[in-house]
Amino acid sequence: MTLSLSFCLHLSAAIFSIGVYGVLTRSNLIVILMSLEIMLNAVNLSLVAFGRAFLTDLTRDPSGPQVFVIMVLAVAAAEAAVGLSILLAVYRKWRTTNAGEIDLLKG
Amino acid sequence: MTSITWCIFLPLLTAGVLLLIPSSLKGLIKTVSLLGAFVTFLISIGLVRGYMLGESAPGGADRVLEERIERILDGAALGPAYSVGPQGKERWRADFLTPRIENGRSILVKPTVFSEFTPGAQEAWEQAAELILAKSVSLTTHIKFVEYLPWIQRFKINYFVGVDGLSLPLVALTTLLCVLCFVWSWNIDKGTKGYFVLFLLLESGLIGVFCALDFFLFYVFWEIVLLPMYFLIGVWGGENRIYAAIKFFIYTLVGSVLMLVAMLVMYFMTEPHTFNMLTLMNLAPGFSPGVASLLFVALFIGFAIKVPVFPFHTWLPDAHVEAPTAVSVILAGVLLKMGGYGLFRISYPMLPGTGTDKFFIALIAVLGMINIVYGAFCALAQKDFKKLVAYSSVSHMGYVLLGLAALNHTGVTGAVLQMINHGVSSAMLFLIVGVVYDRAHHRDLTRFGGMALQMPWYTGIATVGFFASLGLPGLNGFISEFLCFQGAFDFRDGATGSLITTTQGIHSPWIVYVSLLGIILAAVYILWTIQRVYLGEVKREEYKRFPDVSFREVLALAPLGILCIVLGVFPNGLIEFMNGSLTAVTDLVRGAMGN
Amino acid sequence: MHLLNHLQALLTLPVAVTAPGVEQFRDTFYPAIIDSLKYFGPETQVAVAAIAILLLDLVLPIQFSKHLAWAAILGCLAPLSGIGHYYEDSKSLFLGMLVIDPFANFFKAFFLLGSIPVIMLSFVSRKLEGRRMGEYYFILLSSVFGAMLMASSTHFLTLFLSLEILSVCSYILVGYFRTERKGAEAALKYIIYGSIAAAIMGYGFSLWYGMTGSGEISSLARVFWSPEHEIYTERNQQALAALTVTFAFLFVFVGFAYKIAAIPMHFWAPDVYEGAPTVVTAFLSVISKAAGFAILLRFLGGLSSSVSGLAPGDMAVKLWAGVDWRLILIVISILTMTLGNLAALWQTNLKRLMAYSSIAHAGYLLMGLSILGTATRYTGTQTIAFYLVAYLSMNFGAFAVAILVENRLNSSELEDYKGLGRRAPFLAGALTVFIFSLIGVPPTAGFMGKFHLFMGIIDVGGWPYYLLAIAAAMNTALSAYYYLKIARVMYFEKGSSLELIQSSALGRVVVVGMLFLTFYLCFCADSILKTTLNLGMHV
Repeated sequence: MTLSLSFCLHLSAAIFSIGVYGVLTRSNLIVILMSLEIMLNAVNLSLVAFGRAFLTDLTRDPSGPQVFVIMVLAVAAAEAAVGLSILLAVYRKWRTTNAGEIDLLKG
Repeated sequence: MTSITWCIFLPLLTAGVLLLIPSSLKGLIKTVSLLGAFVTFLISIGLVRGYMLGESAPGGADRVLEERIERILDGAALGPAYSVGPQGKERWRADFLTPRIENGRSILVKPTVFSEFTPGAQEAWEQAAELILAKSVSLTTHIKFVEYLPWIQRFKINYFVGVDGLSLPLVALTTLLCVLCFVWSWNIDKGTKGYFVLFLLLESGLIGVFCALDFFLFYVFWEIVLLPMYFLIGVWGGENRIYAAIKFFIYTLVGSVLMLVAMLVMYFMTEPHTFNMLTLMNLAPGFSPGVASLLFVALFIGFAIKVPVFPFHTWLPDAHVEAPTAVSVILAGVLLKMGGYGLFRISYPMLPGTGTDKFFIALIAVLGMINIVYGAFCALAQKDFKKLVAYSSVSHMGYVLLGLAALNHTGVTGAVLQMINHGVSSAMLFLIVGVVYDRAHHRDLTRFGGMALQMPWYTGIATVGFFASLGLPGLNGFISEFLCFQGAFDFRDGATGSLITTTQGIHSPWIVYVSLLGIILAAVYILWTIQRVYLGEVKREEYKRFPDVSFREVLALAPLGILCIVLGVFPNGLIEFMNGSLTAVTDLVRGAMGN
Repeated sequence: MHLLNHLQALLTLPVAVTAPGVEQFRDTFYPAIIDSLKYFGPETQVAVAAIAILLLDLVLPIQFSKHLAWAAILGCLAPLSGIGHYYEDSKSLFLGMLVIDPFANFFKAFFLLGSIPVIMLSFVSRKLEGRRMGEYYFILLSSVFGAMLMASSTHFLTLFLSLEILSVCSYILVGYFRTERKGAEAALKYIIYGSIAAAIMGYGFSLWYGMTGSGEISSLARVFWSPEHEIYTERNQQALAALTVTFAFLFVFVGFAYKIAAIPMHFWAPDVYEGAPTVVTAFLSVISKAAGFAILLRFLGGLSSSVSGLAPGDMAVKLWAGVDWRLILIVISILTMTLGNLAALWQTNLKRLMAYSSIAHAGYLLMGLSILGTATRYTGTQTIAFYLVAYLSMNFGAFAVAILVENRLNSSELEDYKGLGRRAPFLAGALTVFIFSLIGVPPTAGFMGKFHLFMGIIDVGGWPYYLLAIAAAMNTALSAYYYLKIARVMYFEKGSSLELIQSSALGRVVVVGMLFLTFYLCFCADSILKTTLNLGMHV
């Protein structure tokens, strides 16, 4: 059995959709942040798949997508760090991680 | 700086000086503003006198434009074949810049070798072509005191101002009314500095609107008028001022943004692209009828809101009732004229095909009729003195539309005359209301009475104003209303030039017959008002303590009263003054009718 | 068995040809990178300034900490000479990752000069007083660094990375007062929406990447313009490819829409603008938005531009079902401006009102994007560049007044602005000018900017554009209502207090500067127009 490009892309789309679903439906902020990481991982998966596919195509540069993956990982790490620290600050003031309860700003 | 630029910007300059004066020196602020307004008035009188010289009046548009063309051609490298001496330039001009006349319009087509020109020569051709097309409009010979300076060259926007027989009377009216308003506003003690600064800004904007010959410049001045008006109503107005101010602003803004879109469409549809109003008068009539009618409607809504024409008039009573007296005077006396002026200066000359379209003639005539009758009925129903005067303005501006729709020389002259006469008489009426309001602090018509016994001088002056507004022969209103009606009896179909009859959809005399009702109604509401306010017993004890008109009030009222009489007895001077320009405008429009 | 085959195939691939060897690195890459560094001076200077400020703060006593503002201003001024020196150059840097051209230089200068008022306002902002300011200016300059990179990115990689540098820094700035409930909440919302947008955009990039096989933006044009649609698919399924292109386009657009606060990623703006420190709100509403537009111009320019060697306007780029992408932008533009203006009508907090106003202005600016690639005299790039400068003048002006008022009243509720006309005549007068500029009334910068945009779309013509023009015109009238509400509150209503509001000299300098710019851009529009004249040719 081979891992074809289209299989990888479908898998990536599915993972991405799971992430989007999680972000939209969950109310726990930590789960939302996790779902965001899942979305970014779907991005990585599709990039890696393309990079693999480019190996057999002489007109394409396979290193590009792979470098992109590393950058996405770095960005994800930065976002997670900042996101968690902000979450911590929010938790200290609000004593909750439920998105629905943090609603001072609206209108 | 020519005198016309001084006239436009002197009020602004005065406003700048006011900003430097501490706001506690109220007397000085008032004096300086009055002085500034008065000097502006003197300049405008100077312009009127200069204009009367006719051909030899300074700053003729054709001469200034010609100089400009020469300078453009001098500054450009026209190509090797034409580089020798002044003859080369003349030859270039003859070869590439000789307009062709077609259906009464001058047309300049890009020369076939245009792409071989150097970029400099291409630009020179575009610039010169625009001016040559402006020069070829017959109206150009009537425009004097022209100043032409480049402003935003990238969009071909120029500071292009000048006056003709149509705009100069309105400029003079503006400057006169402003002087009178400053005299009147001597008793303003709340936020004096802000009031006068805004008022002067307003004056600059108004004069600018009437002087602008570049569409963009026109739009800028048009919008500048909005801002001070908003604050003058909103800060110094009556109880419901906030509502009135915002309603005024938004109504007018809707109209003006439509005008902006129409202006840009016109700019891009002309070749070469231009904002020059004179060039547009030459090029815009060539638009296809569909586009032209859309443009006409967009512009008409913009101007109609200002006039105000029937469905768009609701801001006017609110604004008038809430505005302080002097602001009402400017609002009725000058601001409403901006709409009418726009129709004469922009809509009709630039889009004559639509203006002379049977449907639009009928539409505008009917709207005029509705304005006259509906406004008069509304006035009849008012208990508030000021609202009555406001609705009478709606009614009187209807005559302007009626005369305009007639599109013949008589009707157009009547319409413009009506604008000026209404400017004088309605300004006077608002001052008259102001006199009694300052004393009684209310405007309820049912609670007045017997002012004639108490304030005989005031009643005497007021009667002149009222009768002028009513259209009594011998006073100014009569002449213009008569001319409007006379013109309106003679509607002609744009396509055939024949009288429009019932079979063609509309029977013009009926519009006139119905509109004549307005005269009768005006007599009713005005005489009734005179009766309710001035005649009969003094209704209240407090009214007996009212002093007669003060010197300040007489100073503001008397010139208007005198003007009412002078314009009523010798209208010919003014008519002759405007004649050349109005004939040119009418010819421009009727040229499209083919007769 | 199959796996083994694959491995074998891997081994026999001419990897050495595609992957750079040591010689190649030494002979071509290394000199190219060294050469690029010369042009990378401005960015380097900003980065050095940022780090220097951070280090300097370690040794400075706390009472001098606020004076790091001057170092930050220096950090913004110093790179300008380098930008000016290479302003007209057009050169690809770092092997096609970045580019230096007048477009990038214009925006870099814009970000740097635009940050100076932000720094000055931070200096006078009372809320930031008594704190250690080193890390604040460090993060501020880092965001400027990100914005500068955004303007010159030509590769998906740098595009994504620079956008995230700016975003992550902005998250921290928004939550700078982490002990305040509103601030923390705003930061949280900002980062969650921001990360969603980033993830969606990243997904879009990966699809683009897969289809074009190259991360360079100019390759987008190739995809569209080449006759055989050389999109990378397994069996060249053309119909599917068009659909994928459409999705990739929309996904990537979502990421940019988030930065400029346009539909469909606008909903963070009101909460974040209200909750963030006012200075940061000002920064987000102008610099961050401008950076978003710079990158959008670069990206959409890649779809349509002269890079492909074709004259613009030759062909309309079609997405799935033959839809022109400009049509999508027109729809988004109309929706964004209308929604922003409608929602603003009911606002009672100045910052929140300005947030919706900023959404509406994003809608106006999208008008300029919708004419990209059409053959017109007034290109979308020019109109947007001019409008952004105008927007800077009026928005910074309005926020400067808001900050100076907030310093005294500790509030940005419109309720507290009652009677400001008497309490602070200068500030109220200035705010009035900025409001009228935001409405777009002459003679102000806002009018000239809007006029320019209208010129652009009407020049293109066609019913979608006329519709857009009418919608924008009506929106202008609509927006007058809520902008005038500010003027109304200040002048027409009486406040409870008559105490005069003092404002600091530096704050007044900013206000006067913005006033000057507001009028200057109207009366002397020619000078800025000349600067923006040839920007359109480079994207």
